[in-house]
Amino acid sequence: MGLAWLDRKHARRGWIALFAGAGLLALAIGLDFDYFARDGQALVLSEREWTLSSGDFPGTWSSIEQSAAFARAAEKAPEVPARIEAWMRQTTGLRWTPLRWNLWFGPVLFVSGADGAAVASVRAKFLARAGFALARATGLVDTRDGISQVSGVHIARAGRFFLIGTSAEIVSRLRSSGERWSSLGGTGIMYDTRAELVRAFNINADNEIQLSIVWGGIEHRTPARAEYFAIEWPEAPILSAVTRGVDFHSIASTDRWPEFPGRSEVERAWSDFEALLPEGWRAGADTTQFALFDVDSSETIPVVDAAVFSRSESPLLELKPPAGAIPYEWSGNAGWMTPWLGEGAQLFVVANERSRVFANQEATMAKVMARERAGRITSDDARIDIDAARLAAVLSDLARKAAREELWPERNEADVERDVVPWLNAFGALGEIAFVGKYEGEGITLRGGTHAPAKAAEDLR
Amino acid sequence: MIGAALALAISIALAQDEAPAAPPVTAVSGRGALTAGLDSNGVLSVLRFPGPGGPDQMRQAGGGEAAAPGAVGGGRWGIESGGRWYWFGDPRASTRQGYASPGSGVIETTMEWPDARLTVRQRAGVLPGHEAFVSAIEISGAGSAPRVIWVADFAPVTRQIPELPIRDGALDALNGFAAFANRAAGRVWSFRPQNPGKAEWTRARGLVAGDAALEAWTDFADGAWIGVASSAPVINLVVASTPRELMGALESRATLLSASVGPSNVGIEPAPVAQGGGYRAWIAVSVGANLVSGAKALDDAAIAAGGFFDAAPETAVLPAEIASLDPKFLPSATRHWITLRALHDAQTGLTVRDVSAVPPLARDWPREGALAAWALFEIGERDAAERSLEAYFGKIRSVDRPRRPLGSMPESLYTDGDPASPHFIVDDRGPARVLWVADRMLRDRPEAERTAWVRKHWKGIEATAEFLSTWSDARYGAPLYAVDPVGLADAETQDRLFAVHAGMAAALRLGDYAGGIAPETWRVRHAQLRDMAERVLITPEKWIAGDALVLEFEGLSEDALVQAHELTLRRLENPIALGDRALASLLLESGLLHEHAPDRAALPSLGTIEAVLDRIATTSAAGSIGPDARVSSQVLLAILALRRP
Repeated sequence: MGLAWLDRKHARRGWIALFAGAGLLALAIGLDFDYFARDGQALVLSEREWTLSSGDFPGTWSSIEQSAAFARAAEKAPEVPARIEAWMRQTTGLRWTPLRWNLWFGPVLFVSGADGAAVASVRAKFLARAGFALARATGLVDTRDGISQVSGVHIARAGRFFLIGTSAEIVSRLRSSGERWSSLGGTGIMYDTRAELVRAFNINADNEIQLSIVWGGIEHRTPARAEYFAIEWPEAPILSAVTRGVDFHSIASTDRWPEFPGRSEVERAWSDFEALLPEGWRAGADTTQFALFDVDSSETIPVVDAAVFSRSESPLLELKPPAGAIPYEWSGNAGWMTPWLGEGAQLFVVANERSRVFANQEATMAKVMARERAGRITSDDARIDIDAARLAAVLSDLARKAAREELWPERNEADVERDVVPWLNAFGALGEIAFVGKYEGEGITLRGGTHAPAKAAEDLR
Repeated sequence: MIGAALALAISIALAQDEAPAAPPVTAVSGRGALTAGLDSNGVLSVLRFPGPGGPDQMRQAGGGEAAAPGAVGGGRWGIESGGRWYWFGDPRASTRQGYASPGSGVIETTMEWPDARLTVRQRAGVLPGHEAFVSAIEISGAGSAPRVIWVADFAPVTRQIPELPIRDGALDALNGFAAFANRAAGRVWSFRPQNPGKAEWTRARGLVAGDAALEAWTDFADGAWIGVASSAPVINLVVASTPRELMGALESRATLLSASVGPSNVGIEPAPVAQGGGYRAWIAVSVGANLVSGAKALDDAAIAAGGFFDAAPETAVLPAEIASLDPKFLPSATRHWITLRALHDAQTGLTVRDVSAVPPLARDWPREGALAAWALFEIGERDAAERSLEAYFGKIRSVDRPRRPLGSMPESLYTDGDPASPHFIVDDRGPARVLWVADRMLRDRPEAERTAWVRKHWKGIEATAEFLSTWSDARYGAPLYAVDPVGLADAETQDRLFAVHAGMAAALRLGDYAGGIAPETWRVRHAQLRDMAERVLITPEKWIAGDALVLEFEGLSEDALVQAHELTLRRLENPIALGDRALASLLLESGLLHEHAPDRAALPSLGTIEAVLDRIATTSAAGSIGPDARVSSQVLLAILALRRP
């Protein structure tokens, strides 16, 4: 009997707690004037170099976590997601999940960047406002000019938005002169440099990460034929690309490069190297293929093994060997070698009326010429294939080497091994990355993304 | 992108003759260990540790900025007189520079500001036997006791990147670590432990933020530790993040920070001592692997530095071969010997071409270093020459690997023996001249000694001769493509042909010393190269107007010798049209021609030789690079060959 009384007492307390909780939640929702806001708006810097936006950031986050590519990366480098989670927890004091993000900040996320700094703009929902006010009131955060600093991140309120930046200055800029932008909505991320690159991110039916890259400003000629022949490389490249109706040179043109230290020196070196190429080398080809087969980094200066193949339906400008070139022959095809700097940097060329092959390693040229007629008919305007595992291995090697030679600011080998290599391992686990391109409007749209290893070629064929 | 980066790396690695961004080094001081280079305004612009080929410890300032009044970069004095500051490096001042005496390693620079009637004479140099540099100034024309300060923009570093010699000048932004002042001892320190990581940087920032005690700084690992002390009493010590902040603080007598992380500039203000109507002050800079060794060197230097002005300038004892020269040649030979001695690493036996950081010339190119070794041998420094030759033979590749043919050697070396050029650059002149110099150093030795030496080194000789013999263009027999530094690309040049011919001739002679063990294929290849060299010599229009150097005349036809002789003399008679490197090569060539055929190849006239030596001295002083071991070794060899009759 006594026990029944106790049960009733506990049940009553439970009901009281439930009603109190529901009441508080209703109050919170009632106070949260933005809860039902679905305008998809947030702020971006008016003078920005790039913008990253998502109409449903928590949904995208959740999709990525459930993707096959993420599973592969997380299995290969489990420390990467764990570290991101730990950083977010240490910075904010909360264990973040897509659901919690949505509850605190809503679905819309805009990040814009300028001058090496970045600032995010999200909705200031009730929980975020309450938590922020509490932290300020209790002195948990250091606030100056309305901008609070939390573990190296700078946060401020701007009406209905929270601004979270890498510096107080960038937060202040967005607060004082931000533009209001609307997202396109839906799962995915858009990246816009305000120049020519727009990238959209998505997850496809195979649960793989997919990107759509619109690369504007590429001058091209309308291909004369719907289909064309693409050479089959003798061995799988680390990175390969094919375009038609456009010269590689216009894509690789140095005026498209971003600013970086030593850019002018690199441009000068490229121009010196180009002077070694036969006159007219880049004119007129209908299709051009590039392949990076290997990067030998066994010594300090890596040696690249790469080839370029171009073909045309109409006769090409005749290429003549430059002075000092040495005649060669591969599989009955006459060509030449232009010496530059030893066997790490020299150029092998075969050129006839309709095709040209360039390689910087003699063995590669021999293999390419032995299979020159092997290939396939395709109608793609462009195609890019990346073997992420091999590329990640090369980049890891170069990163370690840079740290060993004290070329990585404030990082030594142990730091790079701990902070950089896991990210590259995660990238390597993405599998094979392939894009197929079509000319659309003023530019070329590349569509593709990750694939399980050894599946990319089949999927895209 | 990777290709472009590679091309950039190669361009930098090969760069030898491009105009430097910083004011060029015009005078160098050292004895094969710590080495200092000063620009024409007496500014310490290069400080190499542990030897002339070690990393530069000074930050390189751009030319325009460094030339401005109140300039930054390097290490320099500033003097306040009559309420105005006067800085070394000020373009408004008139400057004179020279060595304190012909055989001295002490560099004397006098700065005069005519409008202020202020004259400052600086004596500076590396203290013999100490890992320390001293700069002492004597001020005249200042009405009352002036204030003097010495500021330095150090970039301590131990990095040495194999194959890519941009470790110091081009990577200054990545060099340096921290600086701190020891006010009790009146010293400032700037240092960088070897390969500091995130933990070291975080710790250093913590020490600065917490205003840590001096002892806390001693826990960092070994690296490059630079200390500065001055004549007593020390009035102020300053550590700052930028040069202008530093100079501003010194001028206003502020003390600023006790320590700083990142780019660290240090300054010291001694009270000048009145003496003989003027004022004097000095500073000493030591470099050590750690605080203990750096402090020890600084203690020793402080004792010696006090007498830097009063004592007679350190004058080297001239080797007998130089001391006995005709007085007309003596000053030139002495100066070039001092340069060669400063640029020759006493420990490893390798010789850097120049101490400049930009372009990166503090490397040994075996094709030039071999001639430096021969010059040391000819002036009687046999041990140093032997050490060099052994070092080069140790670098001959004994395994055939991709891009590195058996018998070749790295195009350039750091003084510790690591390769300094990209591994795939093929240089045939280096190994060829090493063989030729080996023969020159052996030919007058007793037969048994010669044979023993050749047998000991036969593996290297054989590999090199095979490389020179087989690295040929199958179409017409010329040496196959290899690097031509003038064009920064592979090329078939006459200079390479002459060098390879000389190398093959030497290989045959070395084989003969050991009982004629050279294979017949070498003789065939040598004959082929000799015929080609003759053709080039006889056809004057094919002669390169640059600095091709013919070393080997043995077996050449009468016609070839006469043509070579006439052309050499003709070009020497118009020295004004040529640079110092071309003139040095021509002078050496004329000496070797005369040595080979005294009855057919007359020496240039004494007047011509003097004019050429004057011209070399003038163009060297005005050149884009400083004292050059390549020029100095060839001029020394030429003088010794020319005076033999």
